Amino acid sequence: MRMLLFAVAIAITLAAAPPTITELQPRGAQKGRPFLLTIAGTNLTEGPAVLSSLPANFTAVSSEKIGYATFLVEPTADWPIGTYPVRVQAANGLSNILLLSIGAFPELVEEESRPGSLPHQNDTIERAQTLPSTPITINGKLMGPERDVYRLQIKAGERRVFEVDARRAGSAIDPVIHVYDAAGKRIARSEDDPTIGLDARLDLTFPKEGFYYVEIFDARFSTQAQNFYRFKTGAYQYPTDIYPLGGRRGEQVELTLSNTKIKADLTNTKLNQISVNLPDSPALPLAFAVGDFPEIGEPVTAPITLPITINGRLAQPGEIDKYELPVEPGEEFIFELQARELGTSKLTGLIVVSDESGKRLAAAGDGPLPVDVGAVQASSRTLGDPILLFKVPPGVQRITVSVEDLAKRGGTHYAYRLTAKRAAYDLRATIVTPFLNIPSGGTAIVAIDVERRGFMGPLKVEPVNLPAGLTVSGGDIPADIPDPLIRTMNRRAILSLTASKDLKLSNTELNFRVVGDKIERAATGLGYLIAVSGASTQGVVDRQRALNGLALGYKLPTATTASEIATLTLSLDKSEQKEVGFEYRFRWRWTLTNSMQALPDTVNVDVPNLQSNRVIEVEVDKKDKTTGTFLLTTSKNSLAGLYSIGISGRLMVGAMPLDIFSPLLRLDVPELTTDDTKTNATNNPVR
Amino acid sequence: MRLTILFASLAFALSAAEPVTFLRDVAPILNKTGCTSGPCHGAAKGKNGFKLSLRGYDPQFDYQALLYDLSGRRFNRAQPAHSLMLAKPSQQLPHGGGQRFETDSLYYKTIYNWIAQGVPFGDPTKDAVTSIEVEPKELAMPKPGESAQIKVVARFADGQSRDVTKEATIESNVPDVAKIDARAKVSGERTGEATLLVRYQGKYATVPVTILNPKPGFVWKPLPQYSYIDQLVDTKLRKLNLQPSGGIDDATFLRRITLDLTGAIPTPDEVRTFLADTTPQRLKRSKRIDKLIASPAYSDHWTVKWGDLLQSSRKFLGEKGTYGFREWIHQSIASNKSYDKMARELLTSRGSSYDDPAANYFRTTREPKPTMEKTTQVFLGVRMVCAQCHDHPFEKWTQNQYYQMAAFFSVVGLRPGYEVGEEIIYDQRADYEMKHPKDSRVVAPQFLIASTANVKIPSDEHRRDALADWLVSKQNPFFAKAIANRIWSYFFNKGIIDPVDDIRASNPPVNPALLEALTKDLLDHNYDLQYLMRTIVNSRIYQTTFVPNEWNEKDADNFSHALPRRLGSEQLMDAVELAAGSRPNFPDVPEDTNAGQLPDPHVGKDGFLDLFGRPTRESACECERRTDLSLPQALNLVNGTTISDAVADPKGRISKLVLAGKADAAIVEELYLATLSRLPNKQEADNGLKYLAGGPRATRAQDLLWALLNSKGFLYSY
Repeated sequence: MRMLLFAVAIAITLAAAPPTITELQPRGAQKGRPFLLTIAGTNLTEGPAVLSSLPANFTAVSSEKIGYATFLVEPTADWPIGTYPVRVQAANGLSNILLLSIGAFPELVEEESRPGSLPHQNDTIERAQTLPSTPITINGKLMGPERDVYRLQIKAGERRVFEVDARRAGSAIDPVIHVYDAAGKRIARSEDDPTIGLDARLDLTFPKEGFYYVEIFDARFSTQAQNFYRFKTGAYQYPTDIYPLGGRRGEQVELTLSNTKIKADLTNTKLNQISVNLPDSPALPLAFAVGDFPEIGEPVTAPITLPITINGRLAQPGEIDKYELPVEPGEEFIFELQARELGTSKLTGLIVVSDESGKRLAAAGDGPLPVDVGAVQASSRTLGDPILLFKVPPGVQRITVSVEDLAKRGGTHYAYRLTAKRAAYDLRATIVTPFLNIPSGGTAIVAIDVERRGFMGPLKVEPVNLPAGLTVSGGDIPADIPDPLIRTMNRRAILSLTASKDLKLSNTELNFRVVGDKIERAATGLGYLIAVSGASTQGVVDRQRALNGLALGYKLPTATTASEIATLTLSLDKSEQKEVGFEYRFRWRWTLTNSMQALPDTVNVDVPNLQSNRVIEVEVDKKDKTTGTFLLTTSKNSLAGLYSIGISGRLMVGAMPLDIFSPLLRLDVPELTTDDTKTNATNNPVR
Repeated sequence: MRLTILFASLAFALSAAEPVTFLRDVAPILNKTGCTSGPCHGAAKGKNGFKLSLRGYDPQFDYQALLYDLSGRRFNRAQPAHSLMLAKPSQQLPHGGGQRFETDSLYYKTIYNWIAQGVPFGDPTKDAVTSIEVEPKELAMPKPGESAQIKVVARFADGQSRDVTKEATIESNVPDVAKIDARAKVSGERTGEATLLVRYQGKYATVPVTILNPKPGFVWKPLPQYSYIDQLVDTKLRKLNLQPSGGIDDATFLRRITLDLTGAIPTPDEVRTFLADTTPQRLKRSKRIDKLIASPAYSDHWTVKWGDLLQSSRKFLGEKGTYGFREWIHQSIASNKSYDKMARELLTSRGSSYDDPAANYFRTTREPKPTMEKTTQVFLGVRMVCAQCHDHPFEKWTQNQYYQMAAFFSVVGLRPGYEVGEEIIYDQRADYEMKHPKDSRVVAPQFLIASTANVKIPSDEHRRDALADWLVSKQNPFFAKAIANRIWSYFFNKGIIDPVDDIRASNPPVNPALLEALTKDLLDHNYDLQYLMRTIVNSRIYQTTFVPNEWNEKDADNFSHALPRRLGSEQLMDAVELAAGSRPNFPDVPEDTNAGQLPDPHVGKDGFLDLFGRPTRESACECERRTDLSLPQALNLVNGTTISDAVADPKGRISKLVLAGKADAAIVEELYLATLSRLPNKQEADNGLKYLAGGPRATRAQDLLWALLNSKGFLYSY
């Protein structure tokens, strides 16, 4: 019996075969110039329309090939340099998002990437594709473990920037650039670069005139579904550093990009970050964080008042920035650093709180690692910026909060934002289902991750202003055992959304919040998920993190689709306490619109957060194949609490798999008692 | 009853003895009689509930164990003969270890007196051994069958000395050359060299033993000496009555030097060009050496070697980390980064493993102790692993030194970074002190050996920089010597000290003067490894044939002739591909990647390369790379797909030769050049022509290529 992980992928139920887009041709366009955009994917036959934040008219034109939809794209307003989400919407639902880039230079497609081209056309210096000497953007692909080589003629004394946009443009490629001279000698290399993350950039001035070769390849020679890159070259300016890293919502904020001061308008933004750039720079813009507290910048000499966000920078290696704060014993604070996660700072932050005598009271950023059962090896783990939950011990009247780099580095790329507030705990919720298609009369599943920050009580994730015709079940996260050493952890809630037959939704954003005792936080949507493949063929699994669009500020775009051919329900037949835990006998039941439809002989069961549970005795009724039962058992290690249980079954419709989900049931696991038998679960869906 | 009578008779005779202490008198007996040995009470958990330190490295611990275990019942001070410590080893009471000495032996009497005198420990300022002296210091026997007596004298802290020949432990590292008996008599067994290791109470001495070839008629025939290497090797050979072999021809030189410097065999065109070059031989060869060192293949080849030593593997580093570390190693080699700089960068690396790939050094071993063991083994050629649990049995390294050295790395912290696969290497701010396993006391960092370099160790977390200063200091007696020896071994298939990563007193250099000279030369040239390699391969000794003469045929230690060796796994695979004119087909790397350019041993895992001994990079030991020849390897060569696919490659050499309409003679010549890097001799050419004429030409040509690929001439470097 396979346990089902109601992860992101399951959001895309296949009942009405919603569209999926796999490729944009081209991946970008020159600013202000109309172009033909071909979208490749599946289930694009239902008259898809493009949804994008790019200010443009997308006019469908006929496409001869199945699996492609083509649009004439015309600007309706200025196109700032950047990336824009593109998805399609049709009668059969919403598609995923891919990113389209807008650049400043004329665009060219790599010869090898053109349809019908032979592979490995430009893998070596000898077979390099020749490029014009004028500024240009090349849209290329790395098809598996290969290299792409371009040849340029460059004049003596000429300055030239070589830049590859990949991860920033929604590609799974981690690009590397090598530049060779005419003799084949390597003269420069870039793999990662400050402010552009895993993307690569070189800025070279060439002493000699001649041919030079630019080689582009993936740092891991991996094979990716999103395998494109955008290679820009020209003599242009780009922001090499940014300070401060953010500003306060509602204000006009001055910031410095590469010694150039510019203004960022945060007066009307609802997002948690915006994009900023040098005037007229063809480079992709940088992220600029938006906060809600008063902000100050270095130098800070007086004691700080809370809440506050401090903008600072560790300008020299080994530098430690210190901030003083008068406190009272028993007061509780949260100190949160923003640096590396913004993509514009190299700082691996360490927050230390000391008392008046300099004694270290608490720290975040160098402590024990939280348990991560998903990490298959050390190299798969990642850590974000530190957060410190601190309670003032007796006798302490003043604390010093210091910020330093874990490896004692410093420089222009080591800026940070330190937010300090009085609070005992906090929560952060993320909708990990990027979008949702709900079959009419059917059910779809939403997953929401909740990061506990000192709050260990039971939580409920619930929709906000749910449209009429939608019913929700689930969303329960039971309490965790408080542990003074582990105060932050992730838990996942799942909810089922069931649509009435007459409900019509098209790209409707659903909002969710997580609610605990005296605390409530809105959930943020991922926007998009672009998978990055790890290699497993060489004997070691290299788990990679998907790209997402959290910064887009989306919630949960939702559409309804045509009815599915079946629905699935779950009910509790019986429950009883055994010596080491509880046993629950559940029954599933299929309702079919087509009596000839073959049914699976099993269902997948998921009970998030319930430890040490087992699903056994999964059996289809011999007389009635539309129903069956399974037994869920808990153990002494299973914590008492309120859980959600859901099932799914996979039908084969034609040759296509179709996953059908049941509405979730509430599962109340009580404390184990000495009573022999105890009935303890309800049969009612949570409303 | 029997015991009582015996004890009574001994009582008077022993009571008036000289003062006896544990340190000076008893502990050596425990060691000599084997009580402290590994199979007995020196075992990790002791024996039958009684534990002594291994080989008595910790006299204080042993004394405490004797005194307090069994609530002190090992001694009967009133009636010493009733003591368990005498009754058991003399087998008066049952003893699992059997009888260790007789009741009338001197050892029995000594322990009896010690107990009678109240079991005094002794005064370390007086009774501790400060040194041992061995006579003679060197042994040279004109022929096998002769013998000599060894005498060992211990000097104590109070200035006294004692003949401890009987109590000292003496072992021969080559017993079939020089055998030592229980009475310290050395017998010369056969021609050759051996070293005797003499141990007594934690002090060590070595005695080199040489048994000369008694064959009459040896007359030294001088050969040209191009450098100090030739002079020093010749000096040793002449002393041993070993006549060095002659030089190699140009084709053999080209094959050998190309394999040794770049891991590849020369192409047919390169062989033709080199043979046709009429430049004077030494100059021609020297130019070729320079060209090879400047080639990209040189960097690839030495990147593999350093990747092995530094354990560059995605198992530890992930994919991006492995590529990054390989790039750092490759660039270090391509730019001829000085060796001390390379070592310093590794040891002092901090920050992101993506920004500073040298920091991957700490990600393979991760913990302080294995990192220290790796560091000493790679950079000093010293194996410290034994000293983790006890003082080193064959060296002077103590358990305390093990933890003092490990304390340099206890500050190193590793923490996941923001990007997948990235880790941050940093110096911990708190709770980083190394603790001694015995008593959990904090162990301060201390260098393994003092050097004249004035390096101070900071008390805070910045101690790694001090370690790097000490390590690469020109005054460090191990650092330069270890790499000079290691580099030498790569060209001669054997170190001057061998194994190269096991430098210790009991494993001395076969030619100390040569090793000293190489070390000095390297230091004089600021750790320039390319310079050292050039010096070595330009020597006459390097360019000596593997064919022995009547005087050196039994010598395998003194570099009197070359030692043939099977090609390494990557060399062999690339040689097959080059010879057959085909391309390797490794997964997840660009199609033109050859075996010597692979990032780590996970590419092509469990295939040809692993079968032929590619190391898994699980340890820093040179021994991980196997160059043996096994039955599975032989079967693979004969029946495996690597060779058969390469031979039958439609774009390969045979197809090209046949499609180009080459004559049979040209095909035979080309195949010999492509495989054996030389022209066929007349008989080989005739046989080849005859074979090609005997059937379908392409098939026969494939057969000939297959046969050549399976010949020793192809499989070996010689």
